[in-house]
Amino acid sequence: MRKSLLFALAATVFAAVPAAAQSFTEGFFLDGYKLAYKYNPAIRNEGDILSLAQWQGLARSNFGASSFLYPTEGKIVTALHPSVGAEQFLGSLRDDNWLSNSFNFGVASYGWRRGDDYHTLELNVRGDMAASMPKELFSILKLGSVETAYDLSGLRAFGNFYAEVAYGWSHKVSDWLSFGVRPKLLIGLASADYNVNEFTLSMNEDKYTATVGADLDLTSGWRKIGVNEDGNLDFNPLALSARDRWKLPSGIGLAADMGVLITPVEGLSISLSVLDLGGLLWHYGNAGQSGGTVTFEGVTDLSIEEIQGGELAGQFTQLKDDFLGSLTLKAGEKKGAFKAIPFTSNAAVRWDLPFYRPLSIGATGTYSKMEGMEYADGRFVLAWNPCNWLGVTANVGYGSFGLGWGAALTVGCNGFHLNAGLQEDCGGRMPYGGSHLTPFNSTLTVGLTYDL
Amino acid sequence: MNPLYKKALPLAFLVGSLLLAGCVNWDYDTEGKGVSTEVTLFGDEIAVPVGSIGPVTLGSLLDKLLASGGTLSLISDYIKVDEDGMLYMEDEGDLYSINVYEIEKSQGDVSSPFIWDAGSPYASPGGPALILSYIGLCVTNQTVNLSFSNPFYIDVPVSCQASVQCLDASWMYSYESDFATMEKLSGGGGAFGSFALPADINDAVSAIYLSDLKFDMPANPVTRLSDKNGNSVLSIQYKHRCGLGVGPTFALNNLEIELDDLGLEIGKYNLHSGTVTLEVENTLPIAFTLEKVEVLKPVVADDAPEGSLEVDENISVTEGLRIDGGTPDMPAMSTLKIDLGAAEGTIPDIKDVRLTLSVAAQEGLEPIAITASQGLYVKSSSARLSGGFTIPE
Repeated sequence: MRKSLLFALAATVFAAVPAAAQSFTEGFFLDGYKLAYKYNPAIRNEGDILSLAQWQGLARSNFGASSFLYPTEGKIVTALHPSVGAEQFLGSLRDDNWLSNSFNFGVASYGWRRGDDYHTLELNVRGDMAASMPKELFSILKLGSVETAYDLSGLRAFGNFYAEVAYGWSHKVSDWLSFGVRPKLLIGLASADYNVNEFTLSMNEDKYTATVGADLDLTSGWRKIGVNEDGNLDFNPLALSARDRWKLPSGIGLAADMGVLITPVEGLSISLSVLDLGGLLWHYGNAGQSGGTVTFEGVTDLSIEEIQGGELAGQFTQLKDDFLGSLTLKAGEKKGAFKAIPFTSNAAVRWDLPFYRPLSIGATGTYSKMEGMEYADGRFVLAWNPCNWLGVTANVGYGSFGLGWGAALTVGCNGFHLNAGLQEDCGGRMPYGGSHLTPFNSTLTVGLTYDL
Repeated sequence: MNPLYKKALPLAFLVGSLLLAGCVNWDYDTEGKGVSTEVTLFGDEIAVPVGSIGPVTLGSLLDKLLASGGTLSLISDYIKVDEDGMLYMEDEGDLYSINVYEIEKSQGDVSSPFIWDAGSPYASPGGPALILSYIGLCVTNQTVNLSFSNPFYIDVPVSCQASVQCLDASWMYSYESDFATMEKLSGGGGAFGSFALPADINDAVSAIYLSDLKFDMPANPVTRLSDKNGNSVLSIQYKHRCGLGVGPTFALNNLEIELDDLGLEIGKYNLHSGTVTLEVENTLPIAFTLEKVEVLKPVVADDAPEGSLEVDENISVTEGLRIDGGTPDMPAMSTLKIDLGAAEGTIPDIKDVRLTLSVAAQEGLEPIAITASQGLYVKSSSARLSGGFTIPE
């Protein structure tokens, strides 16, 4: 009774703790971590386990706050402040600047062992969100119209939320080889994707020309967005019409995790895995397109009196309105679209030191990709598992965004195992809010399992 | 509880806290230091198409030019615009006028028809037109129309030799010509004669003569009046009309034109310099030289009258820009590049600007009539701002 109460209380606490994660690479080095099969489906536990409210989250970006904020004497200025040089600001950005956030909430997991096989069953809720901005957008603001034409396409913001029902199977082929697969049924909950696929801007003293084309894909699991008399999606106020006829989930899909675990000699383990190969076919009941070309060649036959009356300023206001008008979304036909979920490939080597088995050294390599946003790193790992209720690990490595470090801990008591892990960059954070100052890859995992 | 367990947990939390705390960079303490929202946009340069301005026609400029006083203000009332947009001046008056009763009194015996010798009357029209020559403008397409008023109910034969004379700017006769008139005056009134001077005569008509004017009067002329209680005056009137043109000697120097209430509130953007480029089309046969452009600012002195302005010496504007003259068929295009800059600090709000202009006939152009629709047209314009503009906190 007390164990159940403790378990429920812990689940509630952890449910309130936001976290970010991808795959818990440190789990491979912690003997007390019971969910290592999420990292590699070939990994098996000794006994049956139950997990509730496992939180994993990941935040990643190829730019940091120090690209936009600059401390000076006694104050902090923005990148557009006159004291910040253009080279200093724009040199800190990439051609495509993106920020992503993913979470994986393990609603429930159950694992059981039968002979040489280990089975798992999971229900997770996952989400992936990202936004990207081209560097040229900032280049225009900082430098002005020095280029003949700017290509600002690539502005994008999207979010996909889905449930995952996974069945995992790990089989011990021999003393040194195990393999595992985990097919997953993906049930789409909601998806939104705003993509500016065309945005060219030309600014010279004769004419401004902006050609814009954007798409909005939005699922309509609950309601359809209304359409006004001009045929545009009506967001102001958000006019929701009757439920869309498509009554099934907003999307459906399949994915799979695969992995092998090789132990050529005692104490040496090699893990290779690929996670989340697959995607969802989304039904976008709300779809919109915007586009058009806006040109501004200045005013036409403005009189001196009209200039004196402020008409010149009025013409620029009209230009702004025309541009915003080209971004207005016209309701489009329903459509389906397949979108891959972010996938990860991992490799790890662990060697338990023969002279002191609780101490392990190893290395990991990770590559992940989400919609063109790539990340890779390699780490050196040191782990210590002195007993069956304690394990700690630390790592340091180098990745797409520079130096990084990580640490993880698992603590057990009466069959409960608390695990927590953190990966961070070395660029530092801002006080209070904790925003990363440099490009970062930040993961946080918190979970609780119980040995059945 | 295992002793190692008791020590390990607090140690783990301590290490974790230290790790996280050590990553915080207090240089970025936005709450303590605050974030300045001052931004400078388009730091290298920004080019802005301003567009077309105008046209500023002679008709619209006329009020401004005439209000500036001087010689032009004297003739302001006489300049009109016809249905074709042509500028013209018109003057009318009496060439000869006499009351029939006076004729009878002077003649004495009117019991039989007689010849009334009116002599050689003349009139001097174009007084306002003559003034044009003082400033180099000239007249074109002159016409003289004569009309008569005949109080009799019968026709009155008449004879005379009508002629016009023109004087040049030196008051020398430059042109004279005879023209035909009617040989009788019908009852009532009507046209007596008309004459159109050749188009290349650019000196104003100074006199209209009716040499040896004689009327064949009937006996007892008073008894022939249509209305004995009405009109009893026998008269010949003239109407002189001429178009305006630009002569080769036309020149006006240092005309000052103030453009007020421009409302260019650019001071807050901390601009240092900029260039305005204008492509100007000129259909007037007049070349304009922008001698000076002065930005005016309020006088800051305790004893200064309210609203008084002075030149802001800190702001420099390109001087000596020229707009070539052209014609409606062959407009002249000129590119003006006006650099505006602040010697110290930034360019303030611009509310009033004084333009000092010189205008002169375009060299090589023949005198040509000008219309109210001719003028200046900024076909395209653009601004190029260097150094960005700053939006303060």
